[in-house]
Amino acid sequence: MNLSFRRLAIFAAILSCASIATAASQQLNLFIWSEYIEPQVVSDFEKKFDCKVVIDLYEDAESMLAKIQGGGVSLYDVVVPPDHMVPAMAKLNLLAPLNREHIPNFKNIEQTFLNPPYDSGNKFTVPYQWGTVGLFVRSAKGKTVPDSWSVIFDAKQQDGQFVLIDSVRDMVGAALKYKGYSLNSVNPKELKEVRDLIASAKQRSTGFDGSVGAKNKVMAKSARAAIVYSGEGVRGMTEDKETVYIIPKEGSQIWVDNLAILAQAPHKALAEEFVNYILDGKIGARISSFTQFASPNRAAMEFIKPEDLKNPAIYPSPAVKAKLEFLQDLGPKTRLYDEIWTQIKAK
Amino acid sequence: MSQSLTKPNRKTSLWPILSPALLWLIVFFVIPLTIIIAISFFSRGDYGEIQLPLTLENYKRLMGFGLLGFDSLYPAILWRSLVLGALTATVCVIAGLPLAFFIARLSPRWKNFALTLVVIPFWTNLLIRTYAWQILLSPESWLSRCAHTLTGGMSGESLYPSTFAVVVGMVCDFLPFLVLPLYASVEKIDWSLAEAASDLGANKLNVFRHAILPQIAAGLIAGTILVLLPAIGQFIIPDLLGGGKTVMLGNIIQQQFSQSRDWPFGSAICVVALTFVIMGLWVRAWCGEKPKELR
Repeated sequence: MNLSFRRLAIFAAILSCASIATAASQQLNLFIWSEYIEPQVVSDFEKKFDCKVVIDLYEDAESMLAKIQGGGVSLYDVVVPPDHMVPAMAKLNLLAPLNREHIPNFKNIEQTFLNPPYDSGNKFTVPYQWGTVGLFVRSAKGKTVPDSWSVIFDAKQQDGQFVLIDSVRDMVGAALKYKGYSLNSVNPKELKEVRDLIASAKQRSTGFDGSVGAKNKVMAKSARAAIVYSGEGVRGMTEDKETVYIIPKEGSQIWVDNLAILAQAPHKALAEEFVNYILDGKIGARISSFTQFASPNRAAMEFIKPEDLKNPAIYPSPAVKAKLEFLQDLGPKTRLYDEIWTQIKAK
Repeated sequence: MSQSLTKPNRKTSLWPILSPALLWLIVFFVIPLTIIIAISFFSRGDYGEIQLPLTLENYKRLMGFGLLGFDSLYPAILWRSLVLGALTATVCVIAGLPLAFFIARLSPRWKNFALTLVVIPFWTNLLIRTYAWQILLSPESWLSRCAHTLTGGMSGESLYPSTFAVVVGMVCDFLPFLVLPLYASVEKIDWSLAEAASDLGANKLNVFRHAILPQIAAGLIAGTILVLLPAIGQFIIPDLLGGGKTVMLGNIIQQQFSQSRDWPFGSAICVVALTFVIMGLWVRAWCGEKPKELR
């Protein structure tokens, strides 16, 4: 009995030492999309606040939510959910309300991005980057690339291999737009129709991949076309002049990704510092220049290269913007999407 | 049988020795399993929560009655997993039987060497072995070209990715699981029974059927089950060698716990898979008793 008590005491001592050690060196656990923050911005933050930033990555919003729900809520400090995921995460009590007093750079946010429908009063989130979903295509010499989702969904239009996007709302949304439906359709008939459409496209494709992976496949010429987010498309175009990012004429998706602090974040104070740091004008500009996504930061505009601001692939014209649609949280109807996604993957 | 010799009344003194294993099984097997079975009867919340009411809907959905009406997809995947598992086990038996007899007939030194050869593939990680098959079966490989020449260029399909490649990969992966228990029973064969049968006028087939097969049945069944059950649940090999388009049971389970966030449905699939395992073990227990009665 005595012996086991001593063992327990030693064990407790070791544990408390470990907790002291972690308290001494601050750490921020960031859960973010891949290739979505300039590495230098992160190391500058580490230097400024004498801490360590541990980054974990995801490629699609649903996997992010699954990981947060499966214990990530008390593991990570900051997460970057897309607009349509915010209501669900708020309802599930996964997000901590932001303390505006600790985030003075909140004033830098562009007026149009304040008080969004998915988070009224910016209770839980601040906008990080925004962009669109579109096609990234290698243009064959002497051929014009059709500015249509038919590149993917019309077997007759197929010209080489293509990659589908491994993200349910983005992929189903693309097919819905091709058919002329809303991105947020919950009509079982329409959903069945696009399910079969995607399943048949899958048979002709090289399979599913995340936006970054899909872009890399087109860059490496193992595929000719892919569904990507605008940032990947624009970065690809800059590296390889034969490639082009297209927002299809049938319309597409516009989205805003957001910074949020998790409800049980282990390092809340540092997380607030991080959110404030990202909203700094210069830092925001550096991030957008790196990711080639659009910035919702008014103070960042003067530091962003003018050619980026004029690039319609990053900041689409009002005429194009009119054809773009935001995803919405579909509440109970989200199940329909999960069901057809499982079926598409299994077919 | 000899069992009675090893069964002295020492049950109580065994507890200290057994308790670590027992604790391990309770904490890491019995409790999680109970949770999985329980979850499979819960409902999925709108955002992937596990919530009441208790329902059989997850099982109905697996039978094909989903949100969008009847779809034979899940029953088809179940069936496909069973067929591919059975096919793998059959090929393993065809390949493993002669091998086990061959090894049992070797001199003791060569026997150990041969057994080592059987086990050697385990020294390499499953993923690496599977990727190696991708290269070996790729359209430009010499193996593919040989197959192409042998079939006279008849088969339009390439060797990889295909169901053929999946079976090849699974047979290579699971063959040792069949050969080792089978070898153990082949080694113990009482050949005088075979001689007696042959003296009594049995032809070769009947000698095998009546004098040898009952003696190795236990090993054969154990080996077959050791191959069949993991083959049914396998998902890495179908994913890599089937081109990611041949989905098996394991693949849907994985998806339910990640992207779809539907733990109740995922658990229901696990429970059904588990039922197959239990049925397999039950068949083994049932068949395992028969040879004893014969003796």
